[in-house]
Amino acid sequence: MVQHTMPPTSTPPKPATLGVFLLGVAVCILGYAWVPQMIVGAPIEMTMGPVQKIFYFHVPCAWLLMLSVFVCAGGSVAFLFKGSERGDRLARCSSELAVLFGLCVLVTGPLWGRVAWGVYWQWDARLTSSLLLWLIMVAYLLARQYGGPASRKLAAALALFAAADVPLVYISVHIWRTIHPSTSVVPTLAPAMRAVFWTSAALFTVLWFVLLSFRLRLERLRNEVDELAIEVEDVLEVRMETKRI
Amino acid sequence: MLAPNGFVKTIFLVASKDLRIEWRNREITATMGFFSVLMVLIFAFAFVNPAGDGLKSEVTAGVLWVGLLFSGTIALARTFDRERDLEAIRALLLSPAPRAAIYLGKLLGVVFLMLLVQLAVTLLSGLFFSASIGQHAVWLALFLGLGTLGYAAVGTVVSGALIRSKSRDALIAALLFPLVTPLVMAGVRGTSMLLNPETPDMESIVFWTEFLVVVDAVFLILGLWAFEPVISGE
Amino acid sequence: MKRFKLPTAVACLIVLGSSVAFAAGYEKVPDRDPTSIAANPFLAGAYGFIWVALLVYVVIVARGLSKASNEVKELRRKLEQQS
Repeated sequence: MVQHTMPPTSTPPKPATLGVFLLGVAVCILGYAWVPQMIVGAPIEMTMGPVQKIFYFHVPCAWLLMLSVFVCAGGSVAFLFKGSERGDRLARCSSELAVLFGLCVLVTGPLWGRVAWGVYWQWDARLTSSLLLWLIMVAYLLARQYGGPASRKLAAALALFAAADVPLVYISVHIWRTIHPSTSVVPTLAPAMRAVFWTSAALFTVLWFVLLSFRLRLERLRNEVDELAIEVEDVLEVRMETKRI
Repeated sequence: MLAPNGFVKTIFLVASKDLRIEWRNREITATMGFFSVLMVLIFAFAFVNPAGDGLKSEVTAGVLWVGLLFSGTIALARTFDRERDLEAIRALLLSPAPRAAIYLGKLLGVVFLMLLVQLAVTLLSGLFFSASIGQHAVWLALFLGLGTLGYAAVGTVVSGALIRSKSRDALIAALLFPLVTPLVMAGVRGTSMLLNPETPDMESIVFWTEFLVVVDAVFLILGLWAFEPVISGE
Repeated sequence: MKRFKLPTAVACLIVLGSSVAFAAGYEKVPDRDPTSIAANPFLAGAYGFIWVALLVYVVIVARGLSKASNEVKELRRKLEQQS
């Protein structure tokens, strides 16, 4: 009789975790319906006109790009130096979110720039470092997909270099030329704009957590599929050996 | 743990092994060198107006640094390709040599080859583009040397990790180029100022040199940390 | 743990440095009238793009989840058959 142990299951989420996740989903759906109305109702900025309202979702996307990159780097450090599989899963999932939110930043920014500056693109520090960061995250995903046997560790090393690279790129281009609106825009917003901005930022952050946990669940399931497939192969091999004997 | 002089000796052993192999067949130098010459020629056809003066200093600086990147990619790919043949990398990793020493040894070998080719590219650029490369030769050498070191610091980690990958050749450039952008920005800015036939802005040149030193230091430290787990594979 | 003191310190410096760098100001483009181009199509396009991108991502992940769940069920069934 073949004896084998079932590999550990990816246990279904606990009720409390599932509850928090569903609450997050509900908040996002409500936000999707409510935030556009808030943005339309927000006062129009004096110098830039209505196009300034892109700011309410462009800036949160930029923050979430940075957050995703640092979470990816953190997970990569844990995987590279402690062999943490959870760290690796977290790094992979947050890298995808970095690419997603980075794409949102790189599309909404030029649309805003076209109206505000007259051109879609300028080589200023913020735009250039965002573009480079996004490209590095795309390179991370390429390394994971096509990097061969050491792809996970290579990608983790890339994430480390990426986290260190961003301030360096920023400083180098900032010295080179600058044209982007000042970051001090956020603390000096008019009260009516402040409420809309922070609501939008909070909702986008909740959305980020929801997407990350959603994607982590998929990653855990895929790991379980790999483990089960190996287990099935082992069992079949043992059976064939037994038959031969 | 090896004594410090043992560590340094290991670095030179690894580097001299690579350079000795290269001296015997000169494969990387020949291919890199010829590729770089052709690249400078292509840039000359693309940018130089035969009837006019030489290129602007910014364009010449760009050509020098693009040459550094492209030829460096070849050097990095081929250096580790040799380790893959006959599983030489396994023998290297099974030896008691510290991974950090292997990393620095490989780095030294790559830097030496890149600098050799970069010398040829610089001389050719001075010839074809009428660039004043002799004006501040020491500063120019410093810039290109720092850029080469930084590029090789990241590249050694990446190409070491891709040693068993099938898409190695395409991936090395795809992974490296976004990472080394601060190097390229600083290098091109500083080099174009140095090649400026009028008096260059020395204050900016010193700033970009310091910036390159910082970038190199960051890349070297990260490379030393990351090389061991990456080269050990899965 | 000792091994991680220096890397952690350097990582914190990098995060601090990048936050300071991002807090630095910029110059505005002078003499540009932003109201000369109609803004609403760009605003709608920007917002629409974000939601389309997010929706596409959610659909891709949901399909992956469904496929992985089915594969897990199938493999467990095979294992139970073999035992």
